Amino acid sequence: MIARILRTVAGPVIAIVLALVVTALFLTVSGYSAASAFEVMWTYGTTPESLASTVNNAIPLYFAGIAAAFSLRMGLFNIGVDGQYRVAALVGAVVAASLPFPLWITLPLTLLASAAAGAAWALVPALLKVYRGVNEVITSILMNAIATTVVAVLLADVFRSGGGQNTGSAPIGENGSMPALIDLGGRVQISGFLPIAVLLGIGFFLLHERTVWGYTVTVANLSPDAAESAGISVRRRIVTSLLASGAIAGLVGLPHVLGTAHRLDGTLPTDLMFTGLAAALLGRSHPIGTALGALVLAFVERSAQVLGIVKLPTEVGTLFLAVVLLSSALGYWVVENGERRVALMAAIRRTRAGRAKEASTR
Amino acid sequence: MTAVTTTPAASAVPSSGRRRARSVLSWVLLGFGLLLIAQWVCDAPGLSSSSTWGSALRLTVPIAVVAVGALYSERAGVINVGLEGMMIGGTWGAGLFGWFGGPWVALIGGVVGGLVFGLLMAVLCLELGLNQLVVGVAINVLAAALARFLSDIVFSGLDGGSVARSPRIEGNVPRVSLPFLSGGFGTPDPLRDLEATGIPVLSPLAGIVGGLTRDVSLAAIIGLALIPLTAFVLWRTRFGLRMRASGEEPAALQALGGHVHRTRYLAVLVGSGMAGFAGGYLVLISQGYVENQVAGRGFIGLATLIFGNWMPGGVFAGSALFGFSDAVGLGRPETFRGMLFVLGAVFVVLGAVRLRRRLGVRSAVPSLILGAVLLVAALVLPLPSALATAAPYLVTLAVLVVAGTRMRPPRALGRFFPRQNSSR
Repeated sequence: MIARILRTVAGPVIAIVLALVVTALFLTVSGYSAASAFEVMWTYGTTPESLASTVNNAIPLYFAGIAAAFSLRMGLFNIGVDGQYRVAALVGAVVAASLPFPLWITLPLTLLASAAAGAAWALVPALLKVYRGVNEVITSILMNAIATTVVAVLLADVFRSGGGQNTGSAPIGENGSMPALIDLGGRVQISGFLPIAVLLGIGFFLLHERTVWGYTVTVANLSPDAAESAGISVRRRIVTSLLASGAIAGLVGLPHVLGTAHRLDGTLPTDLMFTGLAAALLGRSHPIGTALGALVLAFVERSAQVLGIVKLPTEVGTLFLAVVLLSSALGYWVVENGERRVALMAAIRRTRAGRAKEASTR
Repeated sequence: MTAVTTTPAASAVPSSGRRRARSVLSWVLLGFGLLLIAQWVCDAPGLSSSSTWGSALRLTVPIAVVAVGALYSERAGVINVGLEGMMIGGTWGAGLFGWFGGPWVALIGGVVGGLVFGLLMAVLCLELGLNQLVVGVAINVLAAALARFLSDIVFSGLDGGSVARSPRIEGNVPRVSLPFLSGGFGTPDPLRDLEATGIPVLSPLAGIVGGLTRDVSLAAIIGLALIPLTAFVLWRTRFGLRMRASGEEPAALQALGGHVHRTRYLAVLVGSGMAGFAGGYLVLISQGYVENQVAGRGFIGLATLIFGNWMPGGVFAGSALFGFSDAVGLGRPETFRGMLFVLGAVFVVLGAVRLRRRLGVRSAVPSLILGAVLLVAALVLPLPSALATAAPYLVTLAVLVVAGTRMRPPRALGRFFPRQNSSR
């Protein structure tokens, strides 16, 4: 049991330590003190406000990570999360601002509309993959670029509210915004999206590990031929996985739209996909692992903000994230290789012991 | 666009040279005729102006170079999603080197910057066998972060430099024009005069030829020369044969005494060097490193590669299409309309041909529907002018919808070949 826990934890720990070392190296080479930088980041990051904001910022990363993980389970690389969440954020902002119903009707409808928009944006790559054999990475990248233009055009020409300097969609009122889950006072809040994220993680786990459908996806991913001969339609699994991934991706922008900005404007973060992907890779596409990964990355992002105040480059945070992406792959390689080594040594020892026994009995 | 589907087949059988030349010529004439019709229908003189075609050429080069570079690594069996990052490395390296030594040194710096990330990718993917997609994505993020971090340290203290910009690179590589046609080397420029006259067929022709041959940077010529060079290396040399073998069936290559790892290393490095060169080319255009100047061109190069069916001719056609639609998107809205008309007409004709040849209704219907939609959009719908910025992506996607059926990637693409099995 302890060995099992150690094995699961070792990969991410190695990844994070490696990222720390590389970042420290870069800081030192460029003439900054890495120790003082990390110390400042730690002190700032562990204040109650920062911790609350870490949890809040981890939620969209978790959505993006689960969206990526959903397609990775089917062996697909949904690099279109980026475009999907931006289109869905626009749809969500418009729906939440325009529906006249009370909160308990508006909110579910907004979530559904955003998920549907994300899935619709993922439909093009899915259909092209199945019917035209075009790699989903390419079409998703094109769809991301198209999303940028489409959102800009719709926001400027159709959904823009008010004139002059105002470049956002209509403001979302009380009956559309996500309420805080816990109010800690002094503008420190935990977002109401937290339970949704938890439910999503549980649902992901149950669907993939405890249902027949999840098992068929595993089979279709590992061996398409075996799946087809067993009567599992691989094409249908591909389409469903990509659409579900797109639907989850549709939620990524909502915490910002419904909780922070209360409308869609230029402040919507644009790097959520890659950071979310890093979280999924850190956590090996497991719901709990991805959650921890999202928390770690959100913590780093938040605490790096303080570096500008003490005259250190704030890019350290981004650099750390980038290195984590690489080193998470590396960390798991180290663990796997180490395991193989240990098993090999054990086997050699066993054979030697067996031979010695044979020799003594002879 | 039809050229895209014909080129791979055509370049596979180069023996029938004359027939091929004739078919290329007829396609070019057909395309020119269609362009003239579109120009008349949509009232878009920009479709054949020398400024559109000149900037189309300039915009084609970086995409073509990065896509041809990716051709090396993917033909050798390594998926290269990290092109964007290698290009970013190229722009930063070019900014640094160009600040020291001028434009030519900047190009070298671009290659060096690309190679750094290529080496990282090669080691992680070929030695450790990490997932190539993951490593590629990581390299993209890492390169962007590193470029900003290092700019803050190196460039921000300098005169004219900042966290998002390198100091201005003085001078540029020479530009050449065709003598006696486009005014090269002090000769007269009859094409420019002819374009200005407005004679129906001749003036547009003069615009196109003039745009393609006037003031072309030497860096662009080098970049375009890499395409036929690559075609030669990959299909006519021993090294190219090995490379394609390691992408199709690495075990067979090894059984015949080849070195899979050495070949793949070389392929990844050559590819990353070319991606870096493309980055350097961008730096020369803006006369310095500018943050985010790559703007997804690495990804587009990858799309072009797949679009071109992993063949040099197809890659060139794809990047030319992309460069042209990019140039059109930068121009006036009527020009964009005219291009949509051309595209729609080609799709409708293609669908009709497929129907008549009984290639199956399934392959004909999408192109017919899409063609009709494009024609309606070009002639009737009021298009918001900002939509033209998405022109290259929309066009590429539309062509993929119509032509995507005959893709054949290298068979061992993305498959790791462990070193234990390798002879060295």
